[in-house]
Amino acid sequence: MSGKNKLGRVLADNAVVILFILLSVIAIPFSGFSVQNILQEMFTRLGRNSFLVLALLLPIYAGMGLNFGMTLGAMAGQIGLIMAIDWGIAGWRGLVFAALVGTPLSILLGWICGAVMNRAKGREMVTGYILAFFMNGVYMFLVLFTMGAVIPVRSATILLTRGYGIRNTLNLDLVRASLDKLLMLRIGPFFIPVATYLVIAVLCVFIVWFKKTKLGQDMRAVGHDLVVADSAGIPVERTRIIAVVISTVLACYGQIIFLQNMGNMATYNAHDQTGFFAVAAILVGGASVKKASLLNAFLGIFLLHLMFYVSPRAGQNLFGSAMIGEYFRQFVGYGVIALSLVLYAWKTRRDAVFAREVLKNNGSSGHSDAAKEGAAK
Amino acid sequence: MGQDSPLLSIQHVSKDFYGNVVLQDVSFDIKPGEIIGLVGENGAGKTTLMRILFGMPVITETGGYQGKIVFDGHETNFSSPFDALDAGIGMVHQEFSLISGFTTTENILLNNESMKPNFLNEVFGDRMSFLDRSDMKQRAVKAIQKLGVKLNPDMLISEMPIGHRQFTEIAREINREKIKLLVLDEPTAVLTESEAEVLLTSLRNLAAKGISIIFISHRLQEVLSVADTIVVLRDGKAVKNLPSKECSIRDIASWMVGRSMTSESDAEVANRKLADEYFRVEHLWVDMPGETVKDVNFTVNKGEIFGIGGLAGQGKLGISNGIMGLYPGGGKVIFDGKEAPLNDPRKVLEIGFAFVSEDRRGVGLLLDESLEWNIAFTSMQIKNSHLKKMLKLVKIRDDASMRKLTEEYIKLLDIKCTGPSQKAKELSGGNQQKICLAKAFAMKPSILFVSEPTRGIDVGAKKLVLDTLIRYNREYGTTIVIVSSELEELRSLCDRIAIIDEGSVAGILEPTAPLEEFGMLMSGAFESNKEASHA
Amino acid sequence: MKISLKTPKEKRRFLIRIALVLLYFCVTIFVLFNGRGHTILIDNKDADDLSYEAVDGMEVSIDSQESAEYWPGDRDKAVVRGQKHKIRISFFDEEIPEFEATFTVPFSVDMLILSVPKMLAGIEPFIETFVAPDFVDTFEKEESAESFDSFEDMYDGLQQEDYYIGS
Repeated sequence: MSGKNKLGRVLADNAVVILFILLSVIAIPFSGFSVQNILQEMFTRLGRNSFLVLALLLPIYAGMGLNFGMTLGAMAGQIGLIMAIDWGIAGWRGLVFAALVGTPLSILLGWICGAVMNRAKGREMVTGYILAFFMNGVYMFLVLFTMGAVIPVRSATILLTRGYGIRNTLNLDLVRASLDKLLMLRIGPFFIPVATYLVIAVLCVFIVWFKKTKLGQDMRAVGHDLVVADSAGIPVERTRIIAVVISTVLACYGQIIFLQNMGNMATYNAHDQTGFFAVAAILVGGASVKKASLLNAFLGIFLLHLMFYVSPRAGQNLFGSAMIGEYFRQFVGYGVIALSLVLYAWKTRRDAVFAREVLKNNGSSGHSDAAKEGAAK
Repeated sequence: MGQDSPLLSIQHVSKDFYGNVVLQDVSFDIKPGEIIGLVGENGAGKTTLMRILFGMPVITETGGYQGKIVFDGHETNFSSPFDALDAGIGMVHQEFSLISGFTTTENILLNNESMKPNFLNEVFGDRMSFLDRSDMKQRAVKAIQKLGVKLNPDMLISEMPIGHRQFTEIAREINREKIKLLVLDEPTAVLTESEAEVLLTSLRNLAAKGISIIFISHRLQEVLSVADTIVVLRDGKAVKNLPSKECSIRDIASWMVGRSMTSESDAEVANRKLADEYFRVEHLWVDMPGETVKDVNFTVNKGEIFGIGGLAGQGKLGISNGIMGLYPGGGKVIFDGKEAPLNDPRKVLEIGFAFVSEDRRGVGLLLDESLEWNIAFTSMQIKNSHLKKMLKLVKIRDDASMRKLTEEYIKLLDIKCTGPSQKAKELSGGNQQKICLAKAFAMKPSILFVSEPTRGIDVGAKKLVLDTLIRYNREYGTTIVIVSSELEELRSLCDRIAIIDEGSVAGILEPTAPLEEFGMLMSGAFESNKEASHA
Repeated sequence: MKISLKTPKEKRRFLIRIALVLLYFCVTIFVLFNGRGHTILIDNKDADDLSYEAVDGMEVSIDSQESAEYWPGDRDKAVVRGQKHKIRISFFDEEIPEFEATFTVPFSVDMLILSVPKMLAGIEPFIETFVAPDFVDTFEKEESAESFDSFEDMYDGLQQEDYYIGS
């Protein structure tokens, strides 16, 4: 294969990353933000979003694609937070309480999600997406109609004025930034939420370490080839369910970390796009539905949020309207997912064509050899 | 246990699938360290025998088997392949069951990894143990050495030559401590000759270390060179069981295929005068999973019935599927002096090709639709027949003409049904096949491709289907290319028969050629190639 | 999960798992009680019937939080976590010695009122549950208390731009 061809391949394989770097480089000067400003924002956002994005990794290892079903975990985390606020549990204890309440819920939801995905092998992504929509209905019913009516809610302040159902914006003052502030370090002009970073680091260690376990190895095997893994006696379905359960639980914790940073919670749609933005981030980082790494996750968060941060202001300065940037942000988010999926399908086809050519060449050369042999004799 | 007591003893094993007998009173023994060459045509019962040995669920689901299997002194009745593995029987499959993104070591120790416990085992069970990579590598290297080949334990399978993949598979089986018997199903099918030679040498090594081997292959010279004993299966019976020193390739080939011949149509076929070349295939390759066609060349004359035979997996099914555009392919197909398009099913139908698929229920029939729909559907789509013009704009179905056509074919082909509006799924296999034929005939094709026309239908129906094909050929002069695994069937109706081996044509024979010739071609015995082409 | 307790290993694992489940509940209960926030209103007023009198100038601190100054008639609040608290009062009149006491608040009460004069006079109960008529307002809100009649209204009300991005 020629050098030019190889370069083209590298470019195509990293098209999304390159596109993002280009767009950001163009938008940064127009936004007028200082480097210090941008970096501080990135530190904050890395702390806020990393956990959610990292929750996507295990299902990718297990060959289940991007787990849009992580929204279920986010819902569990929100229910945990509603409970924590209702009981008035303040500070990091409130977050721990929310996580502890959310854990069994998200294990249950993850199990359901995994079992459903096992019945839709090869279509896990769309299944997860639709399942999240369905569960959104269940969540709404739970929070909007039963809380305060069937499920006792102590604090009238979080209820709608009609007496049941949680308010559509929940004030998280009690736990606001309680993890970030636990150990806030000031380095030069920057504030670094060390405790949040530590939690994320622990998760990274867990993921690296998990890959070295037998279960992690089984997950890789299942991800590479379901049939072979099955014939080797690996409990394929169980392994896949475990991957989704872990992902869902991590998404639950991730949503709690996200919301404590935000400081308030849109009760009925905070989870709507959790999966969507996490997926967009990891794809921007250069991951595909089959392959992802820690590096992809962090690079993706950085690039996507850099773009999200500078584009509205750049839009304002360039076109006189922040809405242009806002529009751009939405457009880019969905565009990235579509582009990545299309590129992935294209790459798969390209590789198949390549493999076929190899096969064809081997076949004909083998045959002509045989023919020559025959002629010689 | 003495050296002479057998490790595995198969005693009077019989098996039928709903009355269709596939194994009949098969008995043979394997001593420790012995290599048995198990040979037979497709459908001779090799696969079923191995399934019984491994306790595949499909056997118990279809009513179990008769007879006894004694392994290592105990009568066995495994309920799953994993039980067989635990007892010490390993199987290397025809298609690779390796994970291509894993290294040699990881594949050899797949689901058998060395583990180091840690505190999380107490909470989440043994699967949370760490992998002991260095110990894994040691064990893999040991297995590779035992096999006596050179393999890089850290190489990815996807980067390996095919031969090394085969070695990896075998190394995985012999890595198990208890392994006593190794079953190899067509291990050399994908190997080059030099690779195959290395494999055979390492099999002899293993046998010398006391591991018994059942070697299934259609390459007879390999079987002969490696096996101590040859067992020939034919139509579910073990027809021969004797030391390999006492037989030749030619003997084995004729035992494999030799059966009472039905030579009634031979005379008629032999003296037919055929017109000129009508259809030609040059360097055809088709990417059909499991039936890859690599490089196929042949020509067919006008009005001829051309047979394509060969063992399963060698690519014969890929040829017709590729020409019809159902799987991606390349090369040249020349029909009636013009080049026919590949990879475009509609175009080839329009220029007069028709296809009766081997996948009757999937591709061939609309199971939930009526017979008239089934028969008229393709011709309506392609030829715009059975459509009435309405106001010169909209074409609508002409139900009356469809019904007439269907009734015609029901009578012509003697299809047993309640009427044209019966659903296709309610018919028996033979009658469904006739519907498929009728559908193809309704196209009034210039050339008809028929794939496995008698698969899965009973003997009486087989004859009817074949007679229908011959009659259609004789009456309308339609050129027919028929692909079948059943040699007898091809010999009874074809003018010439091409045998496909490893994705290309091994040779083209007259139907009257001796059976051994066919056997040799199917067995990949290269020397016989030239004999055949000279004949 | 199949639980069999045949081997010592299985027995040990079973016990460890049971212990973890217990630990889970213990931690949950611990953070529930320990993290529970209460708002204490510290009151320095005369009784209606003058049975006790407001302190004439003092500094009050609860749980070593920053202390606040109180003059007669003052009322201020302290937000605390947990149920057991220490109160320390130092008087402007330096002749009166510092006062220290511990008190517990009921778990279920969000907001209570602590009357320092009552406490000093030894009148029980010096802590009372506080129910504010303007309860809602004490919870600082970014939006007015909304209600909606339909899902559309709800969604309209919920559209918060930049929510995820957090500009």
